Amino acid sequence: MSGTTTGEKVTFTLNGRQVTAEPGETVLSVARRLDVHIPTLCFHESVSSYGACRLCLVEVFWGKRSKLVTSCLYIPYPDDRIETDNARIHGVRKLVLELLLARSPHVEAIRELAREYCVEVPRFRPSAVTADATRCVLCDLCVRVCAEVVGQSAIGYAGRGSERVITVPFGEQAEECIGCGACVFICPTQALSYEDIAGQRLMKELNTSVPLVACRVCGEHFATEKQLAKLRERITMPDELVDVCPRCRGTEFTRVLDEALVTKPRV
Amino acid sequence: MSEQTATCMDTILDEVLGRYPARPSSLIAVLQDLQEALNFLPPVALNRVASALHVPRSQVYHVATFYKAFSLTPRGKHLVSICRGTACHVQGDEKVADMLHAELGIRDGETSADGEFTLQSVRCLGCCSLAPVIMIDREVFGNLTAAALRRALAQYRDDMTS
Ligand code: FES
Ligand code: FES
Repeated sequence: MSGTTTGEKVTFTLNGRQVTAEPGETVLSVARRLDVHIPTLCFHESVSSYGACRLCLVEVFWGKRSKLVTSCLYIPYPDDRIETDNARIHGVRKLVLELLLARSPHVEAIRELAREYCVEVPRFRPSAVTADATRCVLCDLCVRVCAEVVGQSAIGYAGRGSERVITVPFGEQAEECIGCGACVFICPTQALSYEDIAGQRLMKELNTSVPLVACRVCGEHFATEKQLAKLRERITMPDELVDVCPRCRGTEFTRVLDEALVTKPRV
Repeated sequence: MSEQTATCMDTILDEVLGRYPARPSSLIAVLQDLQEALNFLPPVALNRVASALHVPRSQVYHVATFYKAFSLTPRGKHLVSICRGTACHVQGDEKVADMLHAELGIRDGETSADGEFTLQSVRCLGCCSLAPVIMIDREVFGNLTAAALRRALAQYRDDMTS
């Protein structure tokens, strides 16, 4: 579904205005740059686009024909005429929101969007599986952040259709999970959470707990062992500072530095 | 799991993994062969497959739970697939399900007490003109009637005793 792959800039029309996309740039990215609002739920600039939520739909016109595409994935062709809001788009987004609201009526982000599109009571009933009002809308952000940013691929799916859920393998304690909380942070619907209790970080919905490390200076638990190991793989950090929490790191750094200067004076 | 079944499982795993190149694209083929050989996909096997093919466990689990052809719990000796596709639905798939329940005492996803039959619902077996259709292992039984169904089941029961 990619427009041009020639590595050239593309000029197209966005809401009646001539605009230019960088090579390979999506319509959503161009729109954001130009302050044109398009609602999204499954998009985040730190990870690849997935096209799950269908809220970012826009309409592309060529001559008399047109079609709806997801702007987070669609790379424009030269001379595309694209509209980001009109009656057709509004109608489809409204339908999508009705479905989302029926599935996850407690999620503030969805309620807010639904209000914006004048959806009050959805016409749909949730399926038997999701009847307990799940907060997860299967936007895939946690899966992508875990794979692409954290590099762990601890989270994935199980099942299909209306039984599809987010889970770790077999739904139990996953050694891949480093307890970094990136999934909790990126989740747009607060479907995931963690709690630090008794020296362990409990990734609640993932049924996984990861041991925490106490700061060498203040004694407060501030990260998991596996998180620190990962950090060390990625950035060079003086050994003395790895088990020191961010708050103590500044003063500790000066102390370590002083000590080094005293014991090994410059020649 | 006893030591003996553990080594037996290892042999099967080695053998099946040896059939395909050790890369992610072999995943489904490996799982199919394992399902065939073991009659289900136990966690140990899935974990081994993940590391052997360089696929994250999360993805192996996703695939294994996605396809109806795979089962994470032991299946009976014979798999009875009842078609719930549109044509079969119109031709009375509910009645077929009830007849199977009467005969075997099991519903969708269950295994009969004697461990002989597992029942699963599938969408369209691809021979709608024969609706209503069931499949036992790899054999298709179309235009089902109560009598035909009983005959089909008996055939498989006999298979086992002989
Ligand atoms: S943001 Fe494009 S489909 Fe969700
Ligand atoms: S609907 Fe049953 S075979 Fe197609």
